[in-house]
Amino acid sequence: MKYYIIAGEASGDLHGANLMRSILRKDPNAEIRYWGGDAMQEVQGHPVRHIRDLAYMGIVEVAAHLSTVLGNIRFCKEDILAFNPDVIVYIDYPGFNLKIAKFAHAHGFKNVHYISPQLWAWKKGRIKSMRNVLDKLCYILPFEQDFYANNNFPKAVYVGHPLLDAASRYVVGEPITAPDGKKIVALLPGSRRMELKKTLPKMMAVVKAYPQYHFVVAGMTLLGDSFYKPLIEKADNITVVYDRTYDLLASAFAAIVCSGTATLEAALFNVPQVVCYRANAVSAAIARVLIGDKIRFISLPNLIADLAIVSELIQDDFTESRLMEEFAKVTDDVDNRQRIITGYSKIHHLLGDAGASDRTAEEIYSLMNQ
Amino acid sequence: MKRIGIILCLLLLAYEVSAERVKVRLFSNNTVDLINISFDLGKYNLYGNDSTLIEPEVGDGKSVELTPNGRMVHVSIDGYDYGSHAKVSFVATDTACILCLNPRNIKQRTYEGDLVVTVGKNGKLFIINEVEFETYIAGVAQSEIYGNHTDIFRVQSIISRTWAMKNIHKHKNEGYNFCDQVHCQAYLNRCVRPDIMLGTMQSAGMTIVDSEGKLIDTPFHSNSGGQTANSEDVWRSALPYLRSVPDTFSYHMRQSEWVKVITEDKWLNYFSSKHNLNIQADSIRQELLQFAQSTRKVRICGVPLTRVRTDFQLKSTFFSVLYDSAAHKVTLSGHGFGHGVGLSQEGTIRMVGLGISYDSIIHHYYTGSRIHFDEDLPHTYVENYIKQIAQIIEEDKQKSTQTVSKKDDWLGRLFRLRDREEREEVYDPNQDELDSDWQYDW
Repeated sequence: MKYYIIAGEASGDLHGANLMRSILRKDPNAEIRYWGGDAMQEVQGHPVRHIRDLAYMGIVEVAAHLSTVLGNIRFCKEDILAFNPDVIVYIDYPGFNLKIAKFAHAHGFKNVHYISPQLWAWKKGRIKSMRNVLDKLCYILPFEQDFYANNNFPKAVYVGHPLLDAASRYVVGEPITAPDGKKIVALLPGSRRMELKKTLPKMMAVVKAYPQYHFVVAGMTLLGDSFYKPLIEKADNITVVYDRTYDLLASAFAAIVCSGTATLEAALFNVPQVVCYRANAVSAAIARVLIGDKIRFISLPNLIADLAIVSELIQDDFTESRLMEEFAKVTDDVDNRQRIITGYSKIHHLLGDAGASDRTAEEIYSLMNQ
Repeated sequence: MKRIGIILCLLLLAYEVSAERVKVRLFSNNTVDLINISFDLGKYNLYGNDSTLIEPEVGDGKSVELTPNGRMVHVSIDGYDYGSHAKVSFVATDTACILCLNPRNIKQRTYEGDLVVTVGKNGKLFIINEVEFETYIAGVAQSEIYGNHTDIFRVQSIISRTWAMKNIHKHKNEGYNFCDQVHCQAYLNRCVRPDIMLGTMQSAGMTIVDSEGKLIDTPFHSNSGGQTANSEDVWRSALPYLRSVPDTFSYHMRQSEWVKVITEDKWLNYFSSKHNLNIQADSIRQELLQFAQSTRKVRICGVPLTRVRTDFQLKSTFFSVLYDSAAHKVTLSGHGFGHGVGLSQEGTIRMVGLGISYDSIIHHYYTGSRIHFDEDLPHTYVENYIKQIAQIIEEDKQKSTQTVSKKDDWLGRLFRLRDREEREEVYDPNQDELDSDWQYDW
């Protein structure tokens, strides 16, 4: 069978790699062509397009790189027609993927979307077109079940969260320690250049104010020292480790995390965290209009538990002083730390077992054999 | 007067500490037909039958070789024959003495305290280490758990101490208290790390008791896989403090996950031949091939998982079955390592890393228990010990590289530190004045 997989971001690359492993277990002769990154490349072959050339987030950022984005869409369509896959698997990355899905559906290809876009949060109107063009939608958050049931989407199936697969595959590496035995605080400022440039400088205020901790940035090799060093050079209690986020979380006492998948990763490793996020002002304003007050939380731990487990500093609330204030609560306040860790146990319970990749591979395989 | 007070105090403490010595059988899982003993620190008097002195003050540079000779132990020192004796004792001449034991074909170990060697019923050497109780506990903590934080060893010391006190007569009929293997508790070397000793001493006198104040059983295991097990699910008794609890702290550790792949035939035939299950029946076949545990179960098709674990030598009973129909294989995908009852050591390591206190950790794993503190503990002795060992750890931190030579061993340094402190006390000018006054009055 021929599979065409599209992952456009670092997290998609990780889940794509696990999905590829599951597909290959199910179908050892699978021929897979993909858009992805290093993790997928470790499993098999080479990406058609690497994620480092694709990661734009937010309305303004995408607009600024519109010609590149449009060029990629055009190329992708041509590549699919040339490869002629039995199924196309879209991993998250909805802005790009849904455009391709419409095209592929029109050309008679089978479409599976893995890691559904957050329709319950914004742009709910997409559900109609998704219902039309997708043959299967594999969603990953337990609370999405009601949403899809209420919106008459029988082709949507809950497969569990792929992060559990990634975390369960994690083989404990060398612990990350500070040279002077200080407790480790993990800084997870995001994976996109633009996002990092916004968040890391604010985190540095905490780094300077807390010399009793050693801060470690979860860096990405593809960005490299030349990117991170200028952002952290003004403090000596901070280092960068590359592509070792799980080793870092397994050693961390606390974390400051830019909203996204990493917030759930920190929760899965029981690390008390402060969540922060600041989008481009225009993107944020548009998002505010689109989302309104439909959702109470932005971070995955809070969304999944439907409870304010971790503090969220969003947009104007993400200031150095507020970050300092919340950081003190997750490091010094023993009761608060205990409350957060107890909250995490609820998340563990709600998410259930690992196996999302296997279940998704099973869905894909059975769809192709229908 | 003050000097007499100090001497009395030291004598009293020496008595109290020496009174709490235990006998541990070493190499209890091995047969030892030759052992070479050297001396890493201090000097030992060697005694034969009826406390006859074989050789006084044997120390650094000397090598004693023991072999069985019928029912006797043959002794040679540096190649010279010292005859055969029914019993050979190595008695430390100082508190800081370390023996290095090199049995033939067995990995070298070091121990503190005294050593008594006889010949066992099997004609091989029978080796007993007589050692201070807390020194034994520190050695156990070092053997039983890994990590870099003192609190990890504090927790392990508390549960190991509780177990040891409850089982002090486990090998009474054989003439010792404990063996050095997991039948009792692993004691595979003396404690070589001062931070481990610090954890042990910080918890000195602490044990875990139930609501009635009785010492509890303190089973522990490597990793719970995310949920501990009820005691009755593994053994017979349902103990109120050994309840199954969720344990997410055991995730993402060295022993969190395991996988074992076996053929479909081997898996199904095991249940058919050993447990008389009709594997042709769809319902049974389906359960055996699709067995899943999101939370711990006790049986699979009525067969205790503990049996399955033993027969297939699995790391835990907490596993699910993934069936590959194309390859006719089953993958047992499991969580954790060990029986799952009581404390998860890797869960403990993570909890300590998260700054969770040692008493909270113990309460997490031993439901409704409490920590009992022995009020009769020689507090001053323990406090001084803690202070001195903390000083040694601090000195180590200042060093750019850690080199552990015999001279640098923390025990030797601890006692050099004590000697120095005592000398400073003796030669204190004010002290001399007080002594003169005292002599005058007397």
